Amino acid sequence: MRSVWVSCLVAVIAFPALAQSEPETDAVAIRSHVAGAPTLTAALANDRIDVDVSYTGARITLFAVSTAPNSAEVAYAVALVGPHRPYAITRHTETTGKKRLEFVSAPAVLAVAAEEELPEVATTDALIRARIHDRYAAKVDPGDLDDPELDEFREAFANLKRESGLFYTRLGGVTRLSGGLIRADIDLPAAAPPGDYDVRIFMFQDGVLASEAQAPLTLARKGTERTLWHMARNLPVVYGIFAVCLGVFAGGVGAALGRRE
Amino acid sequence: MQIHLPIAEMAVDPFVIIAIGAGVGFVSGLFGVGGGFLLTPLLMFTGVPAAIAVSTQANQVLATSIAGAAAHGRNRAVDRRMGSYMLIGGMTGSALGVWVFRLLKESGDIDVAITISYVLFLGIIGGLMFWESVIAVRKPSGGDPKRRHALRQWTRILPFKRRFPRSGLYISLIPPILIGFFVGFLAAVLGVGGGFILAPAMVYLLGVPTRVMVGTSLFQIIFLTAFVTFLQAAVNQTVDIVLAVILMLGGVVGARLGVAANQYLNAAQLRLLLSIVVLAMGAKLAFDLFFGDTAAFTLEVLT
Repeated sequence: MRSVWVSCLVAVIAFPALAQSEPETDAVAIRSHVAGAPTLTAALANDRIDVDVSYTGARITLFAVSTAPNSAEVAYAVALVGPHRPYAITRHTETTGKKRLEFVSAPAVLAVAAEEELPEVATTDALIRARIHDRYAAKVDPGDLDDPELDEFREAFANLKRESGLFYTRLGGVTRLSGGLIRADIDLPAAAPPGDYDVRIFMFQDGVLASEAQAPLTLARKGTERTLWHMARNLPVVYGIFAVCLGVFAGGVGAALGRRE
Repeated sequence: MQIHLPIAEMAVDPFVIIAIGAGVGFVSGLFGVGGGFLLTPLLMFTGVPAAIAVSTQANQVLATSIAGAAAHGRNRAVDRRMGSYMLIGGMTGSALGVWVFRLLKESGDIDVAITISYVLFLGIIGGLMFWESVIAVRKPSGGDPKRRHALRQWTRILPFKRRFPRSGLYISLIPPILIGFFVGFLAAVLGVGGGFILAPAMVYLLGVPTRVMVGTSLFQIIFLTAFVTFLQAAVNQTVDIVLAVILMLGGVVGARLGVAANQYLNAAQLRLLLSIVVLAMGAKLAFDLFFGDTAAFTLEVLT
């Protein structure tokens, strides 16, 4: 097993400490990356997960190499993020009626595994900067940034995602091995939709986001799952007729069994 | 053990789904109602998204209705002629109802008004039916309501009279079409199947014997659910076939057991139980209106 991990590391594509694109201007004031910070490189043990009818979630293992010294001022977090989609969130109230807000883009899944020390080492600003603060995961239309109720909608979005098990933060699962090697295990929920994900590793130092690296992960439909999904999307009329035939067939079998009795 | 659903994009325990399918199938076979009003919330309770639950239940109800109607048919308890006339009215009524529903929706937030009228409607129907059947159960015969009742005079006065041998009736074909139309319209506006509105209407307004009512109701539910399944799959792509197949495994068995249980009850006992189902349905909606369904926010993915 060890050789598999080592071969993965050999195949590592170096991801430089990515200068993250500027986050939304509505986010809390964010400090820039630390100049001359230690670097991270990362690779996945398996970068493709097949989803068939037997799929019930998966454990993703990421290996990373950090040039940072092994000290208590440094903390690592790993996030499984994706696929990004536009969302609409609606608030229902009896007195003021409905209010709908659209998020331009938000991840369907935001699973975070972090070292126990993360809360002490990283500030909220740093977590927002890394986009692993679930409340700030959704990207807002610039026209809605001045909405006084935006925070309430952000919180509701994060709550609904947490309730469905698609957003979570778990302390633990990140292990520092010897020689700057880090292993992180993170669970992909069974309800995670197929699509393109990123597994990101972040290094926080002295309260700020110092460095990060990422590796792509694909969750792909396969076999029966893939056939049925494509049929439903691309041949909806045929799929509809098939569904009706299936119901008639199942009912017919039930009727025939009853006749035999 | 878990199975991943391709359209709902989630994993479910197949045994839980089979049990739900069997339970709802039993109710369907026993009373001649589709059971969608039970199945949709139960599926949502297991985490299936609402749109998928609403569409996929129609596919399951299609299978259980065929299994149930076939069994009732062998017992000579399906009045196909009556069912066909009601279906003609029902289809027209549904189409008009869907249109009116859209107009009402566009005119404002009418959810609460719909639910209140629905609760009142179910409460009145269920209450009257409960009262009538309690009295009938006490009688030694325990049979159907009197055949020559003032409520049903209109079915004999109107023109275009036809014989309905299975129901033992010689009535105008206008009332079955009208009742089908009214129920179809109401069902579409209220957003439910309508089997449990049609069933009592057949007994009390047309004079169909209770046992024939159950089979005939299932007979016409077959066509309605086939239509709904096809439309939901073709237009909204929200039918999950894998979920439907698992539901059907339990559903057809449950429906058979329901039909078997039906044979052990007399007509008045059946009506009494159906009235309890109708009242329970009304009570559930009333409860949701006042206490439940406090979801302040809902989330949808835009495509």
